Amino acid sequence: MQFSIERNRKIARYAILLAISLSIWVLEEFVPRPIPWMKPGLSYVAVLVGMSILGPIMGGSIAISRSLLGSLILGKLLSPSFILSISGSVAASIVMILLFPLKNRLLTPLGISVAGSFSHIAVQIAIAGALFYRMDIVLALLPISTIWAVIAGAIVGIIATVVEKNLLNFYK
Amino acid sequence: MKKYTYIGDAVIIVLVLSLGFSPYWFRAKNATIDKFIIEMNGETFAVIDCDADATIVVPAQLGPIIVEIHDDSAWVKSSSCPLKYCVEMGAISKPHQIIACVPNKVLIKATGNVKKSKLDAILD
Repeated sequence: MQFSIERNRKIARYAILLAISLSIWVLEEFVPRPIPWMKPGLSYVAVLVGMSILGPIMGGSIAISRSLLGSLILGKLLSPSFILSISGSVAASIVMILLFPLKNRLLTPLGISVAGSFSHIAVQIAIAGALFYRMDIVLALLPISTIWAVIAGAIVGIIATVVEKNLLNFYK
Repeated sequence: MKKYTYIGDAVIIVLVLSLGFSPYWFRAKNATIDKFIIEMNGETFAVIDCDADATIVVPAQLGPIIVEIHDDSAWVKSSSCPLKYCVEMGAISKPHQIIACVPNKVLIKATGNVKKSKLDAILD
């Protein structure tokens, strides 16, 4: 049977996680920030939780759908900031999907999150340099952004660990 | 209770930080400045590596000139000449820059290979 309960459950969970991720993303957009790409990235909590509940590929696609839908809501679709956001999300989800099989053996969600947040910010900076600014100027932002990526990624990873643990206890 | 290993996390954080700070690393590697040459009366008085940390007293004609070298740059701290243009010149840190003290016949040259183009900017 194609529409099994398991499948419907997966779709519903995906929708809930996407909605949570999207609302956090849209709210974060209004938080003032000193450097253009210095977002806390708390919406990745939902992505990380989704990866462990729904599987890595479905979870990773939350990040991409979130960027698409969020830009649509804020009226930024196909603008420069949308291009930066979607490229960062694609990079982060690819890196996190690749690292996900190592989870619980070598990595905790913290490591996956830090790697994801760094790839998000690094790809954003590279794309910004290639398309909109000069590469040497944006590369000067990379060290500061890296420190921020590590801090934000660690916070997101810790929150995701706690949420995941409680959620899995709740379901089983 | 799951047993978490944090080695992978530590590896990732170290990797991320080293990648993030690589622009500084590349810049340090591409720094083309090599040595400072101090010349007095047309002859080489001293050759100092640019990454040395040194204070050099040059016994010039009118009295001593104190040259400081620190962090790939060199400057004249005090001079015995009347107009002090060499002090006002400030620090040099790029190849082919020169500090000259004409009354004392002292030159401080920075050597190295220049890779950068003469263009200020390219508009396309």
